[in-house]
Amino acid sequence: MDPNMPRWKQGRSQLAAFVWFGGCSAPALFGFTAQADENLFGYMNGAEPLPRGAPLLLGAMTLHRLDDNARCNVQDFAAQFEYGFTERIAGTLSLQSLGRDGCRAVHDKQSLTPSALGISTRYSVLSPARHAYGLALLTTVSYAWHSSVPDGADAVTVEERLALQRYLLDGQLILLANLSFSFESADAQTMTGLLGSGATYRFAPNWFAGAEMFYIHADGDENKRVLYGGPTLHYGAARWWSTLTWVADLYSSASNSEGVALSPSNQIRFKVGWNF
Amino acid sequence: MRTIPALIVAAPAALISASAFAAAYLTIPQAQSALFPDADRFVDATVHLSDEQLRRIKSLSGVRQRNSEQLVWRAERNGKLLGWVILDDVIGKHEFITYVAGLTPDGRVRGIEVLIYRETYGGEIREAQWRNHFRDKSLRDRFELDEDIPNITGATLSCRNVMQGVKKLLALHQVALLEMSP
Repeated sequence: MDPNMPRWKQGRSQLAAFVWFGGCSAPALFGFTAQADENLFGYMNGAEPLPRGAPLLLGAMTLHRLDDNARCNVQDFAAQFEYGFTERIAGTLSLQSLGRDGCRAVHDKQSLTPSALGISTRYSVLSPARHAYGLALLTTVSYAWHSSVPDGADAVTVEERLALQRYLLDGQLILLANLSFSFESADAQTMTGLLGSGATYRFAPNWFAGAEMFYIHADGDENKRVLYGGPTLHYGAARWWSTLTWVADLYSSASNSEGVALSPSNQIRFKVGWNF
Repeated sequence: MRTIPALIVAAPAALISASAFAAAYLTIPQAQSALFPDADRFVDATVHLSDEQLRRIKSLSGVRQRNSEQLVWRAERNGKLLGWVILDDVIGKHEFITYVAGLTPDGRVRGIEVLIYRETYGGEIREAQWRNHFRDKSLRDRFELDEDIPNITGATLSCRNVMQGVKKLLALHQVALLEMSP
């Protein structure tokens, strides 16, 4: 970072970078991708389809912390409504809100404010319970207005994601892999690739414990390569479920066009959903 | 981050209330009578499987037998063997699915009854229209989903695991019960 840059501007840059790291330029991190699966993981998607005529309401709260000695916290809440149109196709509407507190760049605390809308479709090519592998194709388009973020700009993001899933031990052990590409058009254009995987084991009726890991590579005005990983815990009942995931940046290399180092964040995500 | 402790505390509390929900549709005696209405008694014939028998069951059915002890009853009328009733559970999406299978002495499915099913989707698995597809199935059948047994939307894993569970019980019959049949 340029040592001659005013401290307030350093803070603004860091906050913008932090929010960007959190996912404004990467919808995968914010849960905008259609989640119409078992939601065994916080960030990785499964390939199980939502049944025809089945609605699902989902809320996902993600808490990010910026490691800049400022104890800057950003909260992201995504609400999604999903519906199974056919046995293979499901659609999702999403509303995302952002809030912050304790950030040195902006001294005012901001409560959760609507910041983005998204629409997703999921096409299930293969069912993991019927075939050796499950395969789903997920398409997401989101529009984010970043007026509440310093240095932010409105952005349209399109993401394509492949989700691969395999059941082992009669479904007691579940393996996932995700591959996605997203394109964001804002002040600058950004291409982001994501490769991730996860494994979870049903250690008791209703309970799954596992881990997920994903690597993000983005090119644009700001460049980053970051590897996230961490544990996840899932509980599923007949009509509702919840998932708690913590991921830490295991490796990161990122900077913006001015050479400013971008601080990655640790994230905690809590999801709860109702099948009704 | 201050909201995290509240979330962690709230989640288990909600789970406790949900755990009280259970859907037991039949008792074991009711299921036994439904499968063999002519029987006048059901005699405990619990099977203890050796490692070799467990291997043979896996080899015959392609499905692992998780427990070495299997609850089995002889369905009898006037001391004559009518068939076998076997209690089993298989993995559903989130919980175990508990069912009983009735097998004829020569190793054919007489019927199945679902005792406990608690998954979000696929309640049709309890209906006779679906369960009747198992009748007269034997180890010679392929047990392919959507060919031998129809799939139920939203409950593919449950359908597959019940279907494979029945196939496994037919293998168990051949390995451990056939020699006890007249």
